[in-house]
Amino acid sequence: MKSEIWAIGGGKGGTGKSIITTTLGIYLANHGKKVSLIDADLGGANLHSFLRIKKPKKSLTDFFEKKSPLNEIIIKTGVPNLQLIVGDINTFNPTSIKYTQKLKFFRHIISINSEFILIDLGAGTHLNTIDSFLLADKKIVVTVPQITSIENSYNFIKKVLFRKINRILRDHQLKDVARDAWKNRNVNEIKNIKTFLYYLKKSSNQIKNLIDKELKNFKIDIILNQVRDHNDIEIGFSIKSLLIKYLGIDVNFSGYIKYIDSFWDYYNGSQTHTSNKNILSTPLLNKDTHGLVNNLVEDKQLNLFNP
Amino acid sequence: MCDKKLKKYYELLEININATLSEVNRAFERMKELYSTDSIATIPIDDEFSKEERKRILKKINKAYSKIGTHIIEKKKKKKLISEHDKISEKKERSITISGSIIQQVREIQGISLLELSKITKISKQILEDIELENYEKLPPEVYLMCHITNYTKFLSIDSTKAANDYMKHYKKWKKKSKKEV
Repeated sequence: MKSEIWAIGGGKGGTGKSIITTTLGIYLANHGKKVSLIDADLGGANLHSFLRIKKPKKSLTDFFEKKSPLNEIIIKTGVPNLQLIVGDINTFNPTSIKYTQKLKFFRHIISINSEFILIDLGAGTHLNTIDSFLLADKKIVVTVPQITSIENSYNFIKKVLFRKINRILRDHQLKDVARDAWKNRNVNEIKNIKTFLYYLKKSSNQIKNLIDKELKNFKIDIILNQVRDHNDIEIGFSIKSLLIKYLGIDVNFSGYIKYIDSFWDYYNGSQTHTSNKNILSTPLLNKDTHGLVNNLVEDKQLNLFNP
Repeated sequence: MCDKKLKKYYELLEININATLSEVNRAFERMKELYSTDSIATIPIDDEFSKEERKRILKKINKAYSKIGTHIIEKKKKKKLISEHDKISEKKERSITISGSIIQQVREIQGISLLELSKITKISKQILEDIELENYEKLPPEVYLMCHITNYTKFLSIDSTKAANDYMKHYKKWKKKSKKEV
């Protein structure tokens, strides 16, 4: 079975990537889908806490340090159909992952037996994060309607696109073209990702066609978290429009999640309970999430006229 | 207009090809605001995505909007033209002088509101209304008035030369009369 991989990233910390990954996972599992969550937030893993799993026995540390295969470190959660690979919670330096380890990690992810594999990438724009993001069928960026978060999301997406272009050229034995263009960026008047793209496309028809063809299937899905009112939703549409017009890439505004005042009261409180009823009644499993997941699964987006 | 071009215009406004005229208007207003003012969505890429570049996009959006608007109105007209109403109104048009109320009737038969027309023709709604109601004293100077009537009636598929001639005849009569009275 070919599984569908969703990666959840977005640059800024604290925007709700982990809770959204968890919620999406619970929602899909509740609807009968077999789901695996992977906590790849290296250095800041906490998906297990949202699922109220205390002191997990196996984690990604075992994969990277003890060479255990990924499918041996998957653990069950309290939710039927939902399993989890706990992130590295002990000792680990994310920047020290070797290239071969990374490739192995990707190879193992693809071989996990699930309908959906959701990867929480955590904050930051480290190359490992970006490469994992590019691996996914669905590339989800979570942001909140705050200028700092929006700024980091733009930067993240720009870096992802830059990496993608480099890889397109590399895969077609045109690695030097990208490298030289960037190396001589002052002479070539390359100031940003857009002028970089423009320069490459202008350099030859072959490259232009290649990039156009490869980027046709490149799409970003935006989730806006902590929405308080209609104006906040509008910001989501604005971000989408600007990314389309500025970067020329395909962007979906998939949906939003409302700000919930009592959110942390609920999660902090639920840690002391023992029944898993609490996990399934998370305040985020509401009609907005329903719309959001449907849009993601069916590759649709929020209606501008009736969000 | 060819479909491919039209599709591009819809893409520029980021709306579905089946959008209604009021949805097109709303999308256009959003875009206009987004690309002409600063917001927390635009400020973080201000240095790369300059004001000038945004202005260029705004220009394209303006063009797309007017093309789509014209397209939708043309489509509405075509639909209506087949109906019995229009056969009558066409006959009327040939045999009688075109006045403000005739223009108004034709417009209403075609199901187009003054506001919609005002947005597409870029003639203010008030002027369009004054033309229809023949509020001569409120209308702009003759040269402008003639242009407005020509543009306006063109959208309604009325013989615009005849319309302008007929209308101006009445207008001039009124003007003469009002001068005498003064």
